[in-house]
Amino acid sequence: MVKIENLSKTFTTKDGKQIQALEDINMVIAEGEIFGIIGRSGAGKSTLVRCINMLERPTTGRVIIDGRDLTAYSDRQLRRARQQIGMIFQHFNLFSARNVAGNVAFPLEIAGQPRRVIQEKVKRSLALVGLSDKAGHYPAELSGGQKQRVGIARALASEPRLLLCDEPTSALDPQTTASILSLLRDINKSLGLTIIIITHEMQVIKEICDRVAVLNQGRIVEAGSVLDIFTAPRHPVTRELIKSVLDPSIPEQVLAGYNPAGTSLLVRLSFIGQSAGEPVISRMIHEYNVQANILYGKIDHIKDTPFGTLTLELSGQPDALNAAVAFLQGKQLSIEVLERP
Amino acid sequence: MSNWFDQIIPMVTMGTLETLYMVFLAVFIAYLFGLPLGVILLITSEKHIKPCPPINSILGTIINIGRSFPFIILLIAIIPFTRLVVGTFIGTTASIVPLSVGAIPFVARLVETSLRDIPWGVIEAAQSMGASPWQIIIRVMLPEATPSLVSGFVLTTITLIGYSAMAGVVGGGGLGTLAYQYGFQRYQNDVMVITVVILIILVQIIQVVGDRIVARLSRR
Ligand SMILES: Nc1ncnc2c1ncn2[C@@H]1O[C@H](COP(=O)(O)OP(=O)(O)OP(=O)(O)O)[C@@H](O)[C@H]1O
Ligand SMILES: [Mg+2]
Repeated sequence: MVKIENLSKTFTTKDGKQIQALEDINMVIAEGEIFGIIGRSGAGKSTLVRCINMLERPTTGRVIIDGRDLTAYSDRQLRRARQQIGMIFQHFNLFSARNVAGNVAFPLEIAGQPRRVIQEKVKRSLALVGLSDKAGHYPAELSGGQKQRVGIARALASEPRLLLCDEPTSALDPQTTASILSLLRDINKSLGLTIIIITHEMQVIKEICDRVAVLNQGRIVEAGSVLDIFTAPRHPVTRELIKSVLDPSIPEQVLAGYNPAGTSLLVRLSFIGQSAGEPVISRMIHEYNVQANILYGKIDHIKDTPFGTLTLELSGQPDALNAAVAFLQGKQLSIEVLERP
Repeated sequence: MSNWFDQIIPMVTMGTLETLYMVFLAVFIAYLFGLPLGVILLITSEKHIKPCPPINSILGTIINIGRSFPFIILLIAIIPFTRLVVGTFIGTTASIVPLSVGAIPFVARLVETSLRDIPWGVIEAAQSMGASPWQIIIRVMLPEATPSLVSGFVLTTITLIGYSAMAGVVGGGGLGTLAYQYGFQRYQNDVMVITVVILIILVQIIQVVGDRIVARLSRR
């Protein structure tokens, strides 16, 4: 659906300095998926989404949407193409002089649709976001969550197949964030809409994204399915970001009671989806002659998939311990041997 | 006493009507030119919706020169042009020329400032939906800035009431001429006082009504 090839963006500031905001970005976003782009502040996230609909012209590289190369388009062609790409913003960017219905009608008006069609589509769009009763209200009279819903209704009014979201929940409280995310997920399912979502919060990625790219200093340092990235993060930035939602560290209280005697190892197992069919831990205990002491366990969700971690203390002879770890590694489990505290 | 009234009231009424005629026509003409100029001044600036540095800097310079021109000098300097347009440089209609010309750069800057205050994200949202520059001006920028534009309109009107009195001194008609001819040249202080009071009332009414309209239009 969206293909980004060798995209770079360099800004030239007033005093002639060059800032490379994006460097050689490549990615492919499939039809119907929710694709997340995460990074710290200043990583280049906003610049990247803005390059997708050419609000920012890339310095080099191509952006291909549905087989059409937007970087080759004239302004006029671009305006037509943009009518098929919705966008929502961190600060909503609603028209303060237009009421809710007027905001949602805007993209239809500029596309020159007849009044009757506009009314129909505005109604449908507002119903979709659950704001039918607010049609006559002005943005200043709405809460942040409601404003973002209007933003979504406005972006969807012209029935685009792609929705770009630049930090859509960063100005919202956790509860409102959850409701906006579930709305985005619903429209992704019901309309088959492809969604690209920019965020600095791993929580957002974890809640709704199928795949994610981690952006750091203008480069993609890691990309893949959200499950893979969460269970086996490779880049330090990714690890840091994940920590905020799936804190894998062992709580203080648990460690306080951990008193290693003899040879022992601290390992963390991660398991995804339905629990494995075989009793891995009890087999390990039997076959390798090691003791397992459960220190800490936790189950979380990544989108719809349960994701658990279990921290064990394994004790036994060094050889036996190594063999046990090798055994666990052979299973469909992700295992990590932790530093001793 | 009744003689005094018979004499003064028609004179003052006439003067007030002349002033209103001059000011409103001048404001109208000033906006006719100043509004588009203000829009052009903004959109041609760097990183706006139609950047064009040459136009922007030329226009900006002309407007700055226009604004730094003292009105009293403009009033005289523009006489040949006024003659060309109106046929004479004396009287109310003739005064409209310097008043509007003097106000155009003022209006252009006011309009530019009002429009510049619109959050950039809002304009970007319109762009992201495929709006053309023209659509952005007509359907986003002007409506979004309406309260601020109306404030500017009120300010311009009031400023021109002051300027029109100045024009009156050099034969421009209206309350200014009245105050000058009777109050200053013939020592009829009563006429002077009445014209000043009327000017104060006019300004007051325009300001209060304007503020009401602005408050009603404000949606932010
Ligand atoms: N118009 C611009 N001119 C110059 N530099 C810019 C411009 N826009 C962005 N940059 C620079 O590009 C880099 C990336 O900016 P960008 O806004 O894309 O970051 P971001 O990841 O969205 O950050 P945040 O989370 O704070 O929104 C920053 O170093 C920024 O200073
Ligand atoms: Mg940003």
